[in-house]
Amino acid sequence: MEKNLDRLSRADAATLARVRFATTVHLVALATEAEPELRAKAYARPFSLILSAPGIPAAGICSRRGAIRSWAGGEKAPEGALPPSLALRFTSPRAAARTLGGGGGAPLPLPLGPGALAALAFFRTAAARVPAMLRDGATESALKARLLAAAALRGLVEVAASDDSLAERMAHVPDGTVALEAKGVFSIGISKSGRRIELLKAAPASPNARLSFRDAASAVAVFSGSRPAVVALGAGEVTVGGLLPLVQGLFAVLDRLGEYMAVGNEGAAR
Amino acid sequence: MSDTGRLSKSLALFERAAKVIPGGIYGSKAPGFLVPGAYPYYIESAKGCRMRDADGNEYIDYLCGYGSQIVGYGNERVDGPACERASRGDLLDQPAPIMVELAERLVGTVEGSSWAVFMKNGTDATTLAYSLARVRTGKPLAIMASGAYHGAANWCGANPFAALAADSAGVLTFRYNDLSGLERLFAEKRGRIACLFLTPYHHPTFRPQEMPDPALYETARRLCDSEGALLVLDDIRGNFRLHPRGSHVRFGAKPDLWCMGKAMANGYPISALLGGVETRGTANSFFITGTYWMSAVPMVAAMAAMDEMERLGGVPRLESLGLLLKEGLESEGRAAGFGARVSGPPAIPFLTFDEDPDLYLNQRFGAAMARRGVFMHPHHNWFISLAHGEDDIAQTIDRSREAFAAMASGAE
Repeated sequence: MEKNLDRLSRADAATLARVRFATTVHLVALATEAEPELRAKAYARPFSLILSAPGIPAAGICSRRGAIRSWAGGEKAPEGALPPSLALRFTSPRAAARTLGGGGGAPLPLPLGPGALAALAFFRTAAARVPAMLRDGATESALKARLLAAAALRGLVEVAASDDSLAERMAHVPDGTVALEAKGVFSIGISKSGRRIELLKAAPASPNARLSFRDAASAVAVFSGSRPAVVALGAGEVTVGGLLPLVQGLFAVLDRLGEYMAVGNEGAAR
Repeated sequence: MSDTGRLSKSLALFERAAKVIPGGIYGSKAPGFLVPGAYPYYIESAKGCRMRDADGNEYIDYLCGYGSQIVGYGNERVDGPACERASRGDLLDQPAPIMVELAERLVGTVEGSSWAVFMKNGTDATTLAYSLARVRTGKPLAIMASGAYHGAANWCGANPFAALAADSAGVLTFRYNDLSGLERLFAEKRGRIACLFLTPYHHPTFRPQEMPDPALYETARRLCDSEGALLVLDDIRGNFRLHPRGSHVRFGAKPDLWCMGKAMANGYPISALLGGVETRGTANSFFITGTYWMSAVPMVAAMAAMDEMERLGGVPRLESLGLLLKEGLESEGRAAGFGARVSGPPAIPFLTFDEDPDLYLNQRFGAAMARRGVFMHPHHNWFISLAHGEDDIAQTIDRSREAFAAMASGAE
């Protein structure tokens, strides 16, 4: 894949923007739950905020009654979510990918209702805080693992749904459910059906395959890309059980996600 | 699940390997294809049907070098002549006379064949068969059963993510034994089909093996004849374990091309493509070559291995040993409360559990057996060799009793 965002095809830029929308809103929600300062900002006043760009599904985040929720990739806003207080509108998927990837530029903020300013202030703070938490050596490794796992899996969902080059190949991967777990750190379920990958509300009790990380550090190493999954497997840091072709297929989609995440923001912001 | 003490040298080697070799160990030998931490990653030596890993643990081996060992590791009747040939030169400017003898012997052995050419790996043979069929027919497409393995090249590779979609665009698949599906595919693609690839029986990874429908080969022959396509038998995994004159004889098949390899030289690197009279002209026109394809040592080994197979009892002996293993494993599994079932021909068995299509039990059983000194792959079919004996099978069954009992109590 082209590594320069400016030269990325229109379709790949749209996929990258979907990935960035999804990872941004979900990581902001997770980080908010974990950080008292962000929680205080988020819960000070209810709001609902959406990220949008032409041609791709919007993503959103809302805070209400001491809970923060996020959605993306064509998911419906959760029940009880407020009508949008603010839309952050990007001129194109490429512009969204650039800005959310730290390459400059800014979306157009469109106030849509009460709480727009609070939503904007919160989002700016939280969106800047997430990459800092991931970089910061002082961030608890379990939290880092949860953030990275969420980013990887949300990215996986978007790449599988949007990258047409994977469509035919995904047909060769068996359908089923996978439980991903790191004891005491996270327990997540995903399901694969056709080319669609979905996150489940809880890890399935009887998954078709199981991917277990030895500890938070192992999960961080694999999800951050610093340790190839096949090497972590051989070293016993990760174990896989059950329907291996299902997990192997998901690894291949994760590899594709890695290609998207390696796209750089060269060139001027637009 | 990790046996870090028992496998400490394997794990240490793997850590070193991961720094300089992609994935540490790649392809079908990758730890992830086994049960990481329970199976050895590196094997130091082997003799007969037993091998010793890098940590010194001994195993009764049922993978047999992925089928290439048929008369046993370190068989002196094969290695002796091979070493003697090596002392006089292996890869020479022109072929050694042994090449003529081997071609004559194979053509005299494999029923229906009239010519043979040699290469190194199974993929070389299937790829040449694919090219030859396309050139002979002037048509672009190959048909194969879904889940069938015909090599590691992109045109037929098992990993759809590792190839460009265009690489495998010339290959269509049907569900094995779905004769009406095969008929439909031939009808839909009429005038465009160069060949149909079949293994003698279906041996997909991760699934039970499947014997051919009694009408499969008759249907395949009729469809190929009406289309003017070639029927290619990929006998690389089955050759010399199903029938001494070629696996097609066992099933009444009449192929146009045969791909052979693995057991034919007991682990020495050689494969072969054989054909009937009809395809000889096309083969004559091909530029068939590879730097090592005419090396003499594997050819000498192939001749000696075929002699040794006959001396040790050949297919009937393999079948008898395989049946002992099948009956023993199924019986011990059932006694422990598992729906253990061995599928495939007796000499190439594979165990699965009726109650667990996801293979968790395969993985637990394989790991439990590896810890007890028996190497049985959890996801790939096994192989019996003529170096196995009744005592080895009996020991294996004894250890399986322990393994099943441990699984039943959750204490493996």
